[in-house]
Amino acid sequence: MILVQQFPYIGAPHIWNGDEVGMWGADDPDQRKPRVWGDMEYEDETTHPFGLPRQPHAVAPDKGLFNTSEDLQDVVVELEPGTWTEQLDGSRVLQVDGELRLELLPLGASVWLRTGD
Amino acid sequence: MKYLALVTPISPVACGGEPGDNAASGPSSAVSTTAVSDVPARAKDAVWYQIFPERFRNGDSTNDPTLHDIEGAWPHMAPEGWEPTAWTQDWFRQEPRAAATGEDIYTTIQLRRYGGDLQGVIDRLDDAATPDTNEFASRGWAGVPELPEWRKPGRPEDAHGGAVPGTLDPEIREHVFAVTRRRPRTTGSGGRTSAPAKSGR
Repeated sequence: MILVQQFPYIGAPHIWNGDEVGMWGADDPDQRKPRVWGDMEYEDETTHPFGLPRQPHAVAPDKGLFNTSEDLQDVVVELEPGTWTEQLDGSRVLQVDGELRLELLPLGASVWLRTGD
Repeated sequence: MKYLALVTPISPVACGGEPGDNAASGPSSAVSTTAVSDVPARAKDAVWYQIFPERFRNGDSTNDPTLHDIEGAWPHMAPEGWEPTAWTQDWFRQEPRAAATGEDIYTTIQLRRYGGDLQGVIDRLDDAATPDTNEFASRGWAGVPELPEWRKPGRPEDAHGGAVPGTLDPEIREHVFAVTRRRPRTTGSGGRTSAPAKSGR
């Protein structure tokens, strides 16, 4: 959701490979892990940086993130009536009478802006 | 839509040096700046891939880092027997030689090198970018004409922290040019804005 938010916002969207493949890691230096490749076997992450107990975490590309199968999800959103334009590709314009029905890919997103009455 | 790739010796968030001092230190010495009004037109509809070679892919084990390569770099330690960290090891587990220094993980993690290199970028560029990549641009290492002097060794992700002036390695320069000459195949028009299908193998 946060990644999608960047697209209609000011400036260029910035997406990290770690977000794409489902890596963990936040503040410096933990965002500097070696790239996760599908052809390597990674040791599970079991060590906590401060020696505390933690859940083990398997390190591998999270293919579920890219599962753009044909299993579309039906999404229904209540919207103010009017003309709504899809913002990510700009190609879809719909006249909405109070309810927008969409089909989205798993983990897909669509951004709409009311562009007229 | 154009796809461009950017190879930098630093990772995207470390341009200003130590965490917290970005505003004070200004742009890194390794990164030239361009006024917003002067952004090239070709950049405005481009997708850029910024690649941090040290953590991207080890394409040539014969040039793996040695203790010499971290001399002078933060945290200014040179444990005997130091060697590159295994690419696939648990991130927060200290290497025995690092633990033997008595310092905590967040100090000794700065000693790490993984051995990623430009050969790895060359080998796996198609996995980083999409097949639609039709131009390869770069700066930092690759900004050779504008950057005759590179500072080394420093932290791999920090252009000037603890670094001393050095000269760009001619071999690196040749690698960079080999990459920039590359023109990956172009398929159709448009394309994805990320590389999920291939990197998800």
